[in-house]
Amino acid sequence: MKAASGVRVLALAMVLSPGVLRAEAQSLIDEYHALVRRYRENDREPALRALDSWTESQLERLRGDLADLRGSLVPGQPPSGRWDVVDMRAAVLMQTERALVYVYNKPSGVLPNAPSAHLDLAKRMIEFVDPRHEGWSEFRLEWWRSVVPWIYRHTDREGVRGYTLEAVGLFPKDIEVRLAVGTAFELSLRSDWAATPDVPAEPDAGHRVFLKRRLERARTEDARLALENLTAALTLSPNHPEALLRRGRTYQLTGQDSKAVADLRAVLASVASPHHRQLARLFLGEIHQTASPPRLDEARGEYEAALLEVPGAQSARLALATVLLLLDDREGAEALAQEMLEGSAAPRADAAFFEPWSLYGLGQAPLALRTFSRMRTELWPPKP
Amino acid sequence: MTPVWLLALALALQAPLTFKASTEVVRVDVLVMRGGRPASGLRLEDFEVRENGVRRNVETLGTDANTPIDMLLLFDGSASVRGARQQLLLEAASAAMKGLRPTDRAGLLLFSHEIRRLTKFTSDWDSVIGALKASVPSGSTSLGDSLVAASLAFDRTEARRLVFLFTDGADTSSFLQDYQVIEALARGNVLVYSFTLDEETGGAPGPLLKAATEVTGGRAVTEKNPKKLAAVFREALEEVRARYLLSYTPDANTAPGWRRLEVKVKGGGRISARKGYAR
Repeated sequence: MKAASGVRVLALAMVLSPGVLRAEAQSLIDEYHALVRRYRENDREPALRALDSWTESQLERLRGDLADLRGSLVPGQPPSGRWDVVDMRAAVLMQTERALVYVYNKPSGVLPNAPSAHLDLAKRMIEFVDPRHEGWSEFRLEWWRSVVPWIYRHTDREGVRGYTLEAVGLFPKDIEVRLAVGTAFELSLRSDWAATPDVPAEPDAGHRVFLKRRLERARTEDARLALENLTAALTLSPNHPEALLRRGRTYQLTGQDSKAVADLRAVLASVASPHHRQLARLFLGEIHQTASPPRLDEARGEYEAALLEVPGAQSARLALATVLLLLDDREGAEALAQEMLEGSAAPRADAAFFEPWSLYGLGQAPLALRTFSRMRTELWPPKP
Repeated sequence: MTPVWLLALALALQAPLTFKASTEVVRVDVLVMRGGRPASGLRLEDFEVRENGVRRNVETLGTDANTPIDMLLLFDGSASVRGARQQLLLEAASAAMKGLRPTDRAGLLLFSHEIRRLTKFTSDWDSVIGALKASVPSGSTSLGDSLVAASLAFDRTEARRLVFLFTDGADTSSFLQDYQVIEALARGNVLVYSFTLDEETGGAPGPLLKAATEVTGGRAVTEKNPKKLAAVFREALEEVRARYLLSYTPDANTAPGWRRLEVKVKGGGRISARKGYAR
C-alpha cells in the first residue's frame, strides 16, 4: 500500500516539476507554431479548423508561455530560432480571423472557445514585435483604431472597456482611435437598450419606460466614455461627420435632445454624403416621434426627407410607416410596406443600396475590413 | 322540403364573411378554453366586448367555417439559422402548410438585417417551401422592424391575419424601438404566434416577443425539443382554427390612445384575447 502511495506522490511530483511543465509548454508552442506556418503558407482553412479544436484554457496557457518570449523578437533575430516577423503577422491574422468568425456565429456556438482568448493572443503577438520594425508601428495604430473596438463591441463588454481605454492611453491624439472608442461605447449603449428586460404590451407604458431608461442610461459610465471620446475626436477635427453623427446619437440615447438636434443639424449643414444625411434625418425624426408629447408631423417630415436621401432604405421606410400609423393613415403605411417588400426576394448585394442604418450598427467594420485586407496582402501579395 | 331559413343559414356558414376595411373595424381574436380544450359552437350573442368599460355591439363572428386564414411565416433568416436549424424550419413550415385549406393562403418573409418577401400570399404551398429551401441565412437580426413590416404586409380584408414568427435570437439590428413596434402592432388587426427554442431562450420568450404576442392576443411558444417544432406549429394552427374573430365598429369620435378591451362569454371559460388596441 505504502509503495503504491509513494509512486503516486512521485508521479505527482514529476507532473508538477518545472522541467515537465516547461516541456509541456514547449510542445504547446511547437504545435501552435506548426499551425501558424501552415496558415502562413496559405493552407488557411485546414489551419483554422485545427485551431478551432483548441480550448480556451489551452489558448490562455499558450498566451502565458508566449509572454515569456516577449521582447525577444527583433528584426533579423527570431526567437526560439524559428519565429520571425512574418510568422507573427500570420499569427495575428489567424487569431483575428477566428475572433471574427465567432462574432458572426456566436449564437450557434460554432467555435468552442471565446473570441477574447483569440483576440488577446493576437494583441500579444503585436506586442512581441519590435516597435522599430518597419511598418509595424503604423499597423499597430491601425489595429487599435479598428479591430479591437469593433470586435469587442460584439462580444465582451468588459473587454471593450479595457481595450478601448488602453487604446486611448496609447494614442490620445489620434482621431481614429478616439472615434473608434467613442463608437464602441455609443453602440454598446444601443445594444444594452435592445436587451431591455421590460417591454410593456401597452404602448403608453412602453413610452414611459423608454423615457425613464434614457435618463438612467445618461448616468452610466458607457455614456460618459462615449461622449468624452467623441467630443475629443471633434476637438481634433471639428465638424467630423461621423463624430458629429455619433455624438448626436449618444445625446439622443441619453435624453439630451436639444444637444442631439444641434449636432445632427450640423451634419446636415456640412455633409453631402446621402448616407450620413439619411442617418441624421432618421435620428431627428426619432427625436420628434419619441418626444413627450410626440411631434408626429415633424417626425414625418424628417423621415420623408431621409427616404429622399437613400430611397431604397428599409429603416427609413418602416420609420415613416410607423408615424403614418400614429397619424391614422393606415393605407399610407401599408402602401409603404408593400413598396418595400415588392422585389425584395433577392438579397441586396449592391453596396449602393446597403442600408445606412446597418452600416452604422457595424461600427468600425469598414476600418476593420481594410486592416484585415492589408494584413492579408502583406502575407499573400496579389498575384500579378 | 328544406326550410328557407335553413338554406340561408347553410349559405351563410359556407360563404366567406365580409369584414369592413381594416381601418374601420376593431377585430378581437378570441380563444375560449373549457376543460382544457377550445370551446366550440359559440354564437355571436354568446360574446360580450367592452371597450374602456363600455359595451360594444359585436357585428360579426368569424369562425373556422367562414373565415379563411392568411398565414404569414415570418422567419429568422440570420446567420445563426444555418444548417440543422434551417432544416427544422422547413419541416415546421411544411407541417403548418399541411393544415391549410384551399381558401387559405400562405406567404413568407425572411428577416436578417434586411427584410425580404420570398413569396407573396399564395395557395401554392410548394412555392413557399421551395423559396425557404433555396434561401441562404446570413446577417444580423432585425426582429422588431420585421414585426412591423409583417403587420403591414397583408392585403385581404376578409381573412384572419396570422403571423407565425420563428426566431432563435434577440434583436440585434432593428431601427425601431421596442415600444414603437408594440405601438404599431396595437394599431393592427394581426394575430402573432411566436416560436422559439428553449435552448436559446432559457425557457421564456424575450420581452419583445412576449409583448408582441400579448398585444395582438396571440401566444409565445417555447419548445424544449427542436425535433418537436413541426408538431408545435401544427398544434398552433389547430388552436387558431378554434378561435373566434369578433369585430365591431368603434365610435367615430373615439379619442386617440390606448383603449382597454374586455371579452366575456356566456357559460364562462378561460379567455385569451388582446387586452386593448390603440387609435
